[in-house]
Amino acid sequence: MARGLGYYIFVRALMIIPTILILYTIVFILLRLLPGDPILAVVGTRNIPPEQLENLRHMAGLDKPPYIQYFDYLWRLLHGDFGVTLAIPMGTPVKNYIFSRFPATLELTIFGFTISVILGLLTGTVAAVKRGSAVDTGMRLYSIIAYTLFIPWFGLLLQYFFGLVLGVLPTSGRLDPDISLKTITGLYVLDSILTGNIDALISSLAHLVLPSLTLGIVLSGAYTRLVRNNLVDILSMDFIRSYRARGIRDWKITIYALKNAFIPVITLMGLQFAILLGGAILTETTFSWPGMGTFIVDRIDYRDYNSIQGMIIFFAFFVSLISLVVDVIYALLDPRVKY
Amino acid sequence: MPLLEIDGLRIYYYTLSGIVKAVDNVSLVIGENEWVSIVGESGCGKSTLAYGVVRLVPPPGRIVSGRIMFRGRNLLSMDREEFRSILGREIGMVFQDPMTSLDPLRRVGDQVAEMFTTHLGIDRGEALEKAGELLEVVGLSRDYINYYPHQLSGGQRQRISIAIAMSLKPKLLIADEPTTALDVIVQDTIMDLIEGFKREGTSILFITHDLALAAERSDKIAVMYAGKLVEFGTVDQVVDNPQHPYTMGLLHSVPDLWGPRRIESIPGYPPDLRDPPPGCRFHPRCRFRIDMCSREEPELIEVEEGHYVACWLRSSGGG
Repeated sequence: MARGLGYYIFVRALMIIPTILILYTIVFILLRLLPGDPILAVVGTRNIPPEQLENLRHMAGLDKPPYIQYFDYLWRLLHGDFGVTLAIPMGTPVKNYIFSRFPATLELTIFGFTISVILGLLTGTVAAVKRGSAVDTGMRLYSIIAYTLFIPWFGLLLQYFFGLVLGVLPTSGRLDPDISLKTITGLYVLDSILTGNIDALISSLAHLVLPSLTLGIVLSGAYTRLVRNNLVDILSMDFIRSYRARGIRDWKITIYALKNAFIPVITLMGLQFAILLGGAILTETTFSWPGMGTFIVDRIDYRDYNSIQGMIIFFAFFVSLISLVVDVIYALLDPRVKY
Repeated sequence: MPLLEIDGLRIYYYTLSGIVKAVDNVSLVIGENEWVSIVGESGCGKSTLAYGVVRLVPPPGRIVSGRIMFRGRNLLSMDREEFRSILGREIGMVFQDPMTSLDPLRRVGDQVAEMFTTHLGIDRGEALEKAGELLEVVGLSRDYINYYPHQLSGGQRQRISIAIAMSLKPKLLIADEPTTALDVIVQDTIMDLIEGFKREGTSILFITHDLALAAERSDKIAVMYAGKLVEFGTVDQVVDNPQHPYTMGLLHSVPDLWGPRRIESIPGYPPDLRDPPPGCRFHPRCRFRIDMCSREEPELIEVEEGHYVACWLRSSGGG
């Protein structure tokens, strides 16, 4: 408390540096342990003279000893440079891909996250308030089913039903091909609003429905459980009974209880956001969503070291920022937290 | 018309292993500006009785039958909204554990002020002003409105709980062992505080296991044993002239600072309320039991004016 929130945020932000460094080291080593290398992956089964192969390796900087490669890339990172792609197309800055792919993932993540939180809070609260009833059992069943759903399978199911049978929603991509949208942020919904493009807004929202529902429903299961169990605990606490004895209205008591039950939920939110970005990979693949997930999967096939490293580090940086924000919210919400 | 009239109240807990008759046919009257203490050991149903009055018996407990008349109206037959408007406004309640009876996430001032905004409909600023004044009444500084509960001691928190309970000057304050979790010095100041409100006209229903504490400040004492009311009367009647063997046992189990008397405990344990003994529930532990005690349940009868006891030894029909 003594040093204040600013100091706390500063220290927490500093801790992102070792986190990223450790992650980079692990990813770097793992990638080098994988059989094959980017050059072989590009060349494939074609017969190419060894000198030319060497030349390609040299151009990619892969002829240097691994520790030099490690520090080279680290040095670039410090300057905000994520390197260039090592596979086809060779030599494109990884940053370009990050800029084009990240907003797609972020957009999907935000919608999926929002849906999961709303669904989880609603179902969990209803279950806790109606504790022991059939409604409660139903909500708990929902939680378990949602939690165990396999994203590609569930995604396919939604695609089949809404896309094929009803034919009301698009099943892949982010925008109808015949709609043009001037991108500013890369978040299509935001861009369509900013440019006043109604067609693009409708189309991009329609494209978001199925993937974000898939992601949102699957992730909501964990919230339902957590919110229900916490709220049940809180509702049986002394201070809730005191509120009732003071004649405070029921809906207000539920809100106070929710606020108390929310603290562990916020922790889960931070963790979920990271899982969400991962879950986005499956969702993106299922819905041909041009995000970071599909890009990383694609690049792993090529052993494109720089792209994978760059993307993962950016990913990690973003997740760290989110968890920092979560910690700050946590500290602001709970007066007992000392920072 | 008495302020509160409990009539034939039964509160049972429907547990998986049986029905626990925690409060079994208890009748009790509290007059205007009267301090009535309910005394009994743990599990005798005294707290359940208090929860019954504010309709907050925790599940699986349920009020099975009886009437609770408060200023001529039956609390048990009111609809939820009507009863809610009485809670806090006409009946205040203070609980045992001050450490857990305030919301940890909200400032003390907001929790006090909420009583005014909820029941009087005044705006938050004015309510906070009143909350500050109220904190001074209970002996805390006005600045405490900005504190969170975890920044306060147990005694301070209990003062705040009392301030909240008394914020709208209710006619009745129910205090469920409000001093049990506190040390003796703080205990005394809290009792003074409650007594101060009584002097201003509030009736007190005080729940305690401590007969000596009850005897200090009460007007009347009700002794409960195993879900039954066994003796009821003024402090003088109950303490100086106890009629029920259980009350005598309670009085003998407290050390006397000035006398030579040894502490005598009551042999045995309270019965399992899922399956209480037949007849008088105290008879297995009673030194004076007669045949009648294990066969039939004694009624509460008036042995002298205002002094009631449920014991076959005092009952003319007994023997």
